[in-house]
Amino acid sequence: MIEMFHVYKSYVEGIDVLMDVNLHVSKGEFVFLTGVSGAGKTTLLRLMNCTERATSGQVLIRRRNVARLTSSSIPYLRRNIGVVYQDFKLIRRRSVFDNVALALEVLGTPRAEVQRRVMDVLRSVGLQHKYLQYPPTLSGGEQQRVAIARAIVNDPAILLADEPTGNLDPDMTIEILKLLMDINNRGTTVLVATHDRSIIERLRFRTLVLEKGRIYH
Amino acid sequence: MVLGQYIRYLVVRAFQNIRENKFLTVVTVAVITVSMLLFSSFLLLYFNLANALENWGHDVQVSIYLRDSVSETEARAIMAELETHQEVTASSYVSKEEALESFSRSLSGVAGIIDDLGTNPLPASIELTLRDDLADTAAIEAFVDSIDRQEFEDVDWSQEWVEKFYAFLDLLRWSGIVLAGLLASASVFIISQTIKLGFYARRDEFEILELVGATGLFIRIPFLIEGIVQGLTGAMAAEVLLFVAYRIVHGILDTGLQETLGAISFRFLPSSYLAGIVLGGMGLGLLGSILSVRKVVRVGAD
Repeated sequence: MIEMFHVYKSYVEGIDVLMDVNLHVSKGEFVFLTGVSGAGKTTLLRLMNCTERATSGQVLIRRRNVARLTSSSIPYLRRNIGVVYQDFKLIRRRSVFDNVALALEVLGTPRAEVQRRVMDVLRSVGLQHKYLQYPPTLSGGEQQRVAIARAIVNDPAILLADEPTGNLDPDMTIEILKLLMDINNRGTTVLVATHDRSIIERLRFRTLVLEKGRIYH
Repeated sequence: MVLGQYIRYLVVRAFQNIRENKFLTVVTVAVITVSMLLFSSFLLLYFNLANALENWGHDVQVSIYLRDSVSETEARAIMAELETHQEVTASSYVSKEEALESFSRSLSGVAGIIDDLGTNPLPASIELTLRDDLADTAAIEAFVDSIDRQEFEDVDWSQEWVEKFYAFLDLLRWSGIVLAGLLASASVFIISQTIKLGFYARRDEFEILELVGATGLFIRIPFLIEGIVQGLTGAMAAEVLLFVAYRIVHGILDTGLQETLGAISFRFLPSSYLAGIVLGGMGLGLLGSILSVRKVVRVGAD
């Protein structure tokens, strides 16, 4: 599902953020990516959803070499990849419903179907009753659930989560992780980047450790 | 089906943008209104002057002053010959006496002076009316040159005046083009700047749209629609204001100048011009937004 071969990434010449990264994440897997802040976790995720391109090496998403993709075809690849961030990235002036609907609107989904699927996914994250509210009126955990709902509403093959519990208290953290596992159980490949060792130890999924730009399995 | 949905989302987002950025929208529309108003006022002035010239052009008269040695019989023979020219639509003979009479009538104060001279200093003349479509200085000049002959003391067709008027109209046309160019660039610049401000206010949204797989067009088109709507609104507001101003000026002309100007009427711009102004406004809005969108939104680029 996600493969990397000898991937290097540098923003400034001579300083590699990622060095000779090789990894393989299979279809339907749940994988943790860990490492201290600045280890390159976010950069690695950005390579996976094509927000960045590798300086050298191969990145294959669903067997497609992203280096060969043209800029105009990247949006179509992204539609297969849901992304969740620590800071939620919700549009504050749009309702919960509109935030989630955005992921379907870019596909040109008919309005009635958008209505049905958004409400379904909000139900699955337990926020169906808050669909008219605006992000600033929600708690951190609720905002993250909206972000997850947006990431999965179009049934992506892959879900990337960058420190999804970074801003949440322990109870909320468990809630969000349960949600991510549910999504994984339904067949979505999930990759969670976190520096929180307690989560990793508790859940015992395969873990990729990133240290100074290198992967240790 | 999908295309219809896309169009619906894009239009809805454009109007959402407008609603969420009322102040910027008002500023942009006001700028377009002012520039379109300036330009269309100019156009209205030009249109009416050109119309007036055309009216006067219809009445281009050539006065041929005859030498005193030419008798009326000879003059009428010349006149008959001149009438065979296709440029001439009418001709008349004005004898020395008639010339004196009309001169005295129009300038009653100097009549006494002429009486004192004892002789009539005014020449007899042949007055020619030229064809309508000959309202062009070069054509008139060529015709006048072609009919000149020994018996003529002088040929006058108020050449200087018509030429000056044409030159003025030319100047007006060029100033109009320059003015339109300046106003258009200023408007495009301001529109692009205000739309750009709107972009910066919504930067987070672009990032999120990219994240969920929106194509560059999906992000850009609402801004283009926004620009077109702003241009359309500004141009229509300018036309309404221009019409109000026209009614007021027309009222003043009706009571005062109209009598002096006689047949020349002050008219509003015809619908084809109005449509052109609206299209122009929409074009300015579109151009302004294209310029800013191109600079700000770079989807998929690394």
